[in-house]
Amino acid sequence: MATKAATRVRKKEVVKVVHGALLRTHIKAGMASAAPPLGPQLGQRGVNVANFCKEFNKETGHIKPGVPLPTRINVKPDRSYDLEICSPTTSWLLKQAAGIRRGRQFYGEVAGKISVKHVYEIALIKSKDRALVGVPLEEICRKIIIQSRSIGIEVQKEDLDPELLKQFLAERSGTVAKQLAELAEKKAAKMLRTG
Amino acid sequence: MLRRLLPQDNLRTAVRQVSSKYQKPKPRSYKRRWFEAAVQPVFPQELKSCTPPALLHQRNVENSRQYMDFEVALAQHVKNWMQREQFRVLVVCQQLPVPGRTLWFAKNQWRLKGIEHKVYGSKIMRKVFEGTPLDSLDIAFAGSTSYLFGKDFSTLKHVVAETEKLNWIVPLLYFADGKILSAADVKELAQLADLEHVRAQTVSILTQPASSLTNTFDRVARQTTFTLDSYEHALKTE
Repeated sequence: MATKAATRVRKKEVVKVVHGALLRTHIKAGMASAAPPLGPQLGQRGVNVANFCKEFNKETGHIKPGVPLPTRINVKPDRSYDLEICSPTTSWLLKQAAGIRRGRQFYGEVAGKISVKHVYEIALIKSKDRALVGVPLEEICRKIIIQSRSIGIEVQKEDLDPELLKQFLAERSGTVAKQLAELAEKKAAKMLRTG
Repeated sequence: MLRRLLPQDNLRTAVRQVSSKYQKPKPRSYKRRWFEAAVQPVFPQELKSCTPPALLHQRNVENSRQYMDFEVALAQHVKNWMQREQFRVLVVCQQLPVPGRTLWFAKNQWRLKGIEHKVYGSKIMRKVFEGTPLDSLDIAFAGSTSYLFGKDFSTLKHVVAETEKLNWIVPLLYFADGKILSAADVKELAQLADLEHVRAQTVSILTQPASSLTNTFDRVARQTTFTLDSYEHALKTE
């Protein structure tokens, strides 16, 4: 009885977590808000979230809303911050170029098709990033092709044939719908099992 | 049997179907030790041998002189790359550990100035320069060295300027067109202006005597004209 009372009274020691000064995240253009996950991440580092969101949305006002932008926020000891906004993510650019919204689900699946011209244009956009200034365009193109393979997007040297592409996208939309239906079924079954 | 239940390190255990990211508890659990004791007669014994340090050193030296197929291929690849790019300047530098992002940005900035930064193993670089005049300087290819390549002599100036700004890279040796340059010579060369600027200066120095001669003759002619004009003016006033 006495030990039970003793254990009830004893409190857990609260350890204050010190978060790193660098925050790397993807924020959608024009859609920065204090909602999680961005709000807590900034708040834990002592940044004024409202000011940050205002500044970010102002700087990305010229970009189409909803485009994911890799962002690096370096928070200084006096709670000011350096904000670096990069060009849209390569995976988003590749999916836009291929006209798809979802990548591959399993190895060997072809989720979309683009040509080397698309790769070149994407490389031109990415070459303006601070981290890629000075990197040869050929190197950037190679990295984009590697990433397109991981998403399941096929890169071909010839220009895309509109008729074949239309046929492919129609088939693909059917495949994606099936995959999403399967995933929804599995989720529903799991919910029923676990209650 | 009881002795076999004691934890033994020299018994080879079966492959575990668990993550290798955590340490196996030592000593092993009681059940595990029972299993190991039971299979010990079947498992082959691992024989430990003690190698003398001199023999170990000799083996290490022999291994460092032998090249595996992939090392030879890499050395050939590096050699082909240097020949294809037609590099004329090579700077061997001592590079200290530095965060990857800092090195990445520095490399990109150097590339904009025509300096290519590479890090290869010392063994590979010794193989690359085997049979060349730089073969005798294989002592330079040791430790944590990195290499800066350039296509023309103006790279030396940029190398000196860039490495002076940074505290994690120190140039040790400068090679240009197969010749070794001393650090003092390179610093003097770095203080000179660009080649085009020097050419323009040389041209202006060479044309200076001719232009001064022309100015002298012009001055004499002008003075003569002025004197005659003033004499005519004086005569008219009289």
